[in-house]
Amino acid sequence: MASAGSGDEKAAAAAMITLISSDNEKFEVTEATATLSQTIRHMIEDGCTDGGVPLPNVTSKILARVIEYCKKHATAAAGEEGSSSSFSDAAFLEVDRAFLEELEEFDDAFLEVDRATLFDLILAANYLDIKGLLNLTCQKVADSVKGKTPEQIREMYNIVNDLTPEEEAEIRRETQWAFE
Amino acid sequence: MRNCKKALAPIKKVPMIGVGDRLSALPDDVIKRILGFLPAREAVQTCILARFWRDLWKSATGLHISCGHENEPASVKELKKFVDCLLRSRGHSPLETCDIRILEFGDSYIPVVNSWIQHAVMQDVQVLRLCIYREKGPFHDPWFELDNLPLVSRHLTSLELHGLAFNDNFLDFSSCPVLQDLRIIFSDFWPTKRIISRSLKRLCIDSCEFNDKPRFQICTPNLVSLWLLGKYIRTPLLERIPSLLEAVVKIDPCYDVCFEDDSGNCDNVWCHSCHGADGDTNNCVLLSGLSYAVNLALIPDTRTFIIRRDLQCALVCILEHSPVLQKLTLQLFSEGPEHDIEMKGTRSLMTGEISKHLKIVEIKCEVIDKTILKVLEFLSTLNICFNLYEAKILE
Repeated sequence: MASAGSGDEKAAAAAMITLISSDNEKFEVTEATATLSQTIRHMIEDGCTDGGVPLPNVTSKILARVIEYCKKHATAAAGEEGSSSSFSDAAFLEVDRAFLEELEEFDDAFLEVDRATLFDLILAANYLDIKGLLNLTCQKVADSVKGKTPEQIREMYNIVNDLTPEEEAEIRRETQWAFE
Repeated sequence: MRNCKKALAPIKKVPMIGVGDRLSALPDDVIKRILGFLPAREAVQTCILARFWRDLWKSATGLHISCGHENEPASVKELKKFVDCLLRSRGHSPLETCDIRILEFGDSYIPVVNSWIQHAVMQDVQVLRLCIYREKGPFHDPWFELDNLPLVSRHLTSLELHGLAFNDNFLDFSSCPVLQDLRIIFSDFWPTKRIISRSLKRLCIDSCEFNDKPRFQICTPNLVSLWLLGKYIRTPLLERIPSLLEAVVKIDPCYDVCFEDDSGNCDNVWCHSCHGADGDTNNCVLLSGLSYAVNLALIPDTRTFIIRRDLQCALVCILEHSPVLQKLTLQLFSEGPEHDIEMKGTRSLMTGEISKHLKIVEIKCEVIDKTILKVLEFLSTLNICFNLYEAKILE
């Protein structure tokens, strides 16, 4: 785990950042991977990363997953920056499309997690300010409630309805245009 | 070392609403984001989940407005009532994304839908997708007519448009300084002269209709990627794009032809195919604009007169003025993606006239006929030589 990024000469040559999970596990990642997180990007800019970046809200289990996501998408971002090498052949269209498909497949597989992990990933993405991951995970939750009635959603997510029947009737009256 | 402690401070947790209710326990901003991925009506209906949920929908970060599907307003009339109430309740809540999809609505709703678009822009929308088609009548096209006003937004980064009829004001994106992505599909440019944006990085125009005369101009000098696909009565005119990295131009059966002759420079000054270009483009329609591309795929149809004309009169321009082009692929008079014949031409002499980086010119075609031989002959005058014995026959 702690050797994330090792074995890759290019990555070793690049600046490395150490991330420390809430259970004190250390993860070494390239700056390109780490800066997908706006929170960490700002800390690097402020020179606050010497001696590692403690992330008291993120467990090692979740941090490992977040890093996996960032690594994959950092490669994509690097390609998008537009270095001419990524368009090295007229067949780049197919290559590009294949890569995007691969990324989509990665995202789909990445989301194959239980609900507790999904919520942990959302909180981590929100805390670390990783927009792509936050949108991906929020979309997954939205998809899970799409087409469900309020009663079904409450049941699905253990939401306790603390509205009195009178209050509920009043809210329904206010927003009648959305229930017709 | 400023702000180090602040950046590390754990965020405050929202008090647990119910045991095991992790959804309501998420930070409000996250819930508003989740609601922004739901169809608008379903997002509003979360107001009765529990007291905590009552007003969250009013500041959802996204809006998905459409009608006709399950659990959506059934008609445009009902949709109007719904969206009017929704926008009134939302007030000035900022928007990140807005998606409006409406098929087949009557003329009386054109101002209404335009006002929704204006609302989204006023609330600082970053990603705007419009897929709007009018009812098709015997006397009008299915295009939705946008207000004749420019978009003014410091926040808009991405715009996707389907089924719209443009005007010159709307297509002048000078007041959208961070707009980077623009996709226009199946829309009508007929009454417009040009599209203008200095910020645009990626542009895709697919299956649209362009002006007959004069040629439509694409003025986007900072593009990195350009896709131009579809069939055109008049091929649009590209201005120079020095930042271009990739360009894909696939023009299907095209009517941009001269009925007099094939030279591209007939005697009839009223012929818009031969004399439609203006400005300092050396009468070059596409290739002058594409000349900076590092990689270029030109996939014209057999009858694409304009490419043939450009090739004959201005291929020299692309080769002389493409300082970074390394490989040029010309798919000539072949529909692809399979070709019968592939040839690679290399430089026989390094002359100062053409790009130092150009290594290979690849030609993909069906047969080697008079037209192809003309192109080869022309390329040989630039010291790019092909060995016909080495042509690959892929049948």
